[in-house]
Amino acid sequence: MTGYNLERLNFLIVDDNKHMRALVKTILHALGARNVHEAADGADAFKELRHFPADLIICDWNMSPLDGLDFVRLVRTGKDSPNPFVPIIMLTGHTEMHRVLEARDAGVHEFLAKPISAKGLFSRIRSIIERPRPFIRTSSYFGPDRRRRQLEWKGPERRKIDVEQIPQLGAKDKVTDDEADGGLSQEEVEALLNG
Amino acid sequence: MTDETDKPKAEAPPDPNPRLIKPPRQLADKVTRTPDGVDTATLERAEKMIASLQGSYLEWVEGDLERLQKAHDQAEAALAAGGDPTADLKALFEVAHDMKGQGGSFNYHLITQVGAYLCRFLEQIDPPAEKRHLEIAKVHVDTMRLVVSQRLEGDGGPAGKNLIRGLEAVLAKHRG
Repeated sequence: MTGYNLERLNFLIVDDNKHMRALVKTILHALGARNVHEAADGADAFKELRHFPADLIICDWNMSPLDGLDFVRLVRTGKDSPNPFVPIIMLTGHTEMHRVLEARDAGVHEFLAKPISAKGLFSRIRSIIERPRPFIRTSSYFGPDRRRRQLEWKGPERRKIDVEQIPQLGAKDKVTDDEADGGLSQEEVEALLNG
Repeated sequence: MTDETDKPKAEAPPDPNPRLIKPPRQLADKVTRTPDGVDTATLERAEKMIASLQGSYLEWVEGDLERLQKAHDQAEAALAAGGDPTADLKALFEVAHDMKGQGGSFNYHLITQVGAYLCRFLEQIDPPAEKRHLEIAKVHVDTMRLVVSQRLEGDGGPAGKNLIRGLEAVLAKHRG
């Protein structure tokens, strides 16, 4: 049996909660990672990137002064960004549908709902390893291709279709009313992003 | 509790000339498959490592409960003085949101569940909050404290179900 060896990867954890940073670091070390740096907010993380060649960033959403979303945008489109192509996993308790789409549109690769588990985090890392995506530059977006599946498609842009057409989400969750039941599960997030 | 950033933004019109760019390197370039790589056993060990942190979690969650109580007390004091408790409720939301995101990792799923209820309740308050809102928030805070003090892991068994049923009854009454 062989498995992915993560020991050569440089990880950067960005979270303002030291306990969450410790938890993510513990998981990464248990998965064999050796080089794990931490930052307490987006501004610190951006400074860290200047001298730490991160291969993967695991980033919280709620932070100040620079929150996770602004940090992602700065990494992707900042003029002085040291690494605009670095894969980013957004780790957050905000799993409402419009938040997931907002994170995707800022240029995150993957989205992981809190509370996290080792299996959940590794599945997102594995997804980035196994399904590398090209980057797209348009007048309003720079980041990994938001179309995850390469399908022949002649209809409207897939990311604009009504979510009712995504079977896993059914008729339950529309962009406007998903907050009524407190956000999406990780499975629903996956269905949405893969839809 | 909802601000401008919570609202979905309108999408820009599609770009007629999107450029496809191959990243200079991919994660797979630095990852190989080896016998000591991540397999099922590794993942199980990692989950056990998380479980072994439960004792630490129970220590730090006490600090979260204190912050939760403090934010609630400050909201009450602000209201009693004829002020606006919005800032204190925002602080309450932030602590509850953190707790919601952590409990489940350490088998305290009830902390995640009650934290989610509290966040949702606070989000739906149309400011300024009133005394009845703070009373309901207090029921959430007390429930979370009970979950920790009674060490109600997993679904908490019958005691956990009773707590959730009681909390849901309070919320249903509030909604009328």
